[in-house]
Amino acid sequence: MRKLVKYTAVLTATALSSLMYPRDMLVPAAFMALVLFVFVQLWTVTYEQTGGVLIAGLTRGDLIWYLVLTETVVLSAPRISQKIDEEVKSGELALALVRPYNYVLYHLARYWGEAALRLPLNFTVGATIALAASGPPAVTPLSAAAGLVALALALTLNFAVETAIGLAAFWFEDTMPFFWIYQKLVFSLGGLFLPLDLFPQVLAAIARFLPFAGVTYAPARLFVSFSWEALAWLLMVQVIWLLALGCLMARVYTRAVRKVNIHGG
Amino acid sequence: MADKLEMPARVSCGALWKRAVSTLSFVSAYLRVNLAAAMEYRASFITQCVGMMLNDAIMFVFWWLYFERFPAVRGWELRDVVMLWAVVAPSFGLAVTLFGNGSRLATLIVQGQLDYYLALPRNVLLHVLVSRMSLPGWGDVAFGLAAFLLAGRLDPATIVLYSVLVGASMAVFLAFQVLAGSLAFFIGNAETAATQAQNTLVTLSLYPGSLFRGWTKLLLFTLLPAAFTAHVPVELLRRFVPAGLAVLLGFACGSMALAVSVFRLGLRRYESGNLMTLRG
Repeated sequence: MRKLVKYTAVLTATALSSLMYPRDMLVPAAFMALVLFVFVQLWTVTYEQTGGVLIAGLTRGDLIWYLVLTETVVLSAPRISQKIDEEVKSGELALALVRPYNYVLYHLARYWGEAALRLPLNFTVGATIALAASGPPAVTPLSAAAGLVALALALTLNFAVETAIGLAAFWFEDTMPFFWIYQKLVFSLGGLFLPLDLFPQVLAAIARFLPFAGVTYAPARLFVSFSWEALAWLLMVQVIWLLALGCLMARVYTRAVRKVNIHGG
Repeated sequence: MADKLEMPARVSCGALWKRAVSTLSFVSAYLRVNLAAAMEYRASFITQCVGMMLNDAIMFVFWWLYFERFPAVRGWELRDVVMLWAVVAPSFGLAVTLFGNGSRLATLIVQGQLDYYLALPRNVLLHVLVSRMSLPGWGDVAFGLAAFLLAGRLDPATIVLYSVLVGASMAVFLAFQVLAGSLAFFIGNAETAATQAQNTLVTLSLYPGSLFRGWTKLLLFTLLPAAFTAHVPVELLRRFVPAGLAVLLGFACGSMALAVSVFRLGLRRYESGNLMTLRG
């Protein structure tokens, strides 16, 4: 219980601190508006050209709201891998190790402190554009709740992957390329711009098993097109990957800490 | 400093040639030094380049998947998007490798870090721009050239045209970076705005031009010139129109001239950071 209070305090302090720098939150929101604008154009043209109301079972409105959710996840996730990478390289990590908290849980609390503010802002910006472009979403309270649970898991899953990338700085001079590749895998195989339902069948089947789908596809798909089958499958994928990556992260962290050399100063 | 801002009233052809050669040797010297510095951390350099190539390649997967399902977007097909990447990736890559401080100009101005360049007998803007190299940019250049090879249009005329178009696109990118960075002279802390403006231009450059119509298209031909960094060059490679090339080159020269003028104007308002810095 005391631990929970401690990390909740970190989360709250980070959120309050983020409020002091509103520009840092407004920039991703502005970028979200731009990206959504471009994709509204793309999908409007695509639906016009195909002449159909449904593409892979999704209406134009569904697709636009799907993009609102995927973009909200990606643009609300703080860049934790860069932060950890910097702490490892600068030696700041050594200071954190002597403090009375678990380094990974501390960063998880900070991550959620920032994300908790960015999520509503980015969603509001995206929702405004989607409302103007296609009207309200066809969601039910159940699909909204399922989307929200999947969204929480998605951001935590992203945290696990990014932390492992950041800790790789113990072995590699620069972890940015790993982050770029992970990010672009989320963009493509995670269905950020194109739902997995529109992929070629074989690729879609593979992508549904991968963690990238758990980060973006799962919350968006459940939000716009709920089914119990999809809920069970997507949440299972998210939980399994979260556990697997959590174990990997813990192992990487344990091995990484052994490599810390402190020279004083 | 004033004499560094003034243009000589009349310059003879010989002096102009001498200055051009001197400038080229200055830029190539910085290029060599920056590359040598990068090679000190060879593993990091290679990782960054390969990482950026993979980054571009994975991003391209989206378009491959899209065109697998939908054959065209208002006349643009997969091969046009390949050509779009073949133009945008190397032009952006060359801008950030050869002139690596372009993306950091606002930061340098806000932090008063131009002092070092003001004290040296070289063009301030050029010196600032070339004194840093963004290493991942080489990955963009390599990916763009690979995309051009993939497009398979390797006749000499197309190669020459492609080189000119990449050069023009790079000039527009660079001019835009300088203009966005120079905002810091006038509005103070413009780092976020400049970065956001640059990201916006790159993002808009990577989508088919046929998507945009009306006022958006007007914006892409003026304030956010993605039309000139990407869409016009691709249209010219699809169907060459001499007038189109003239307009592109004119816009590239005009935007460079505007960027240099705005930087010079801003430099008059520059306030020193009184920083004591050591450069290796």
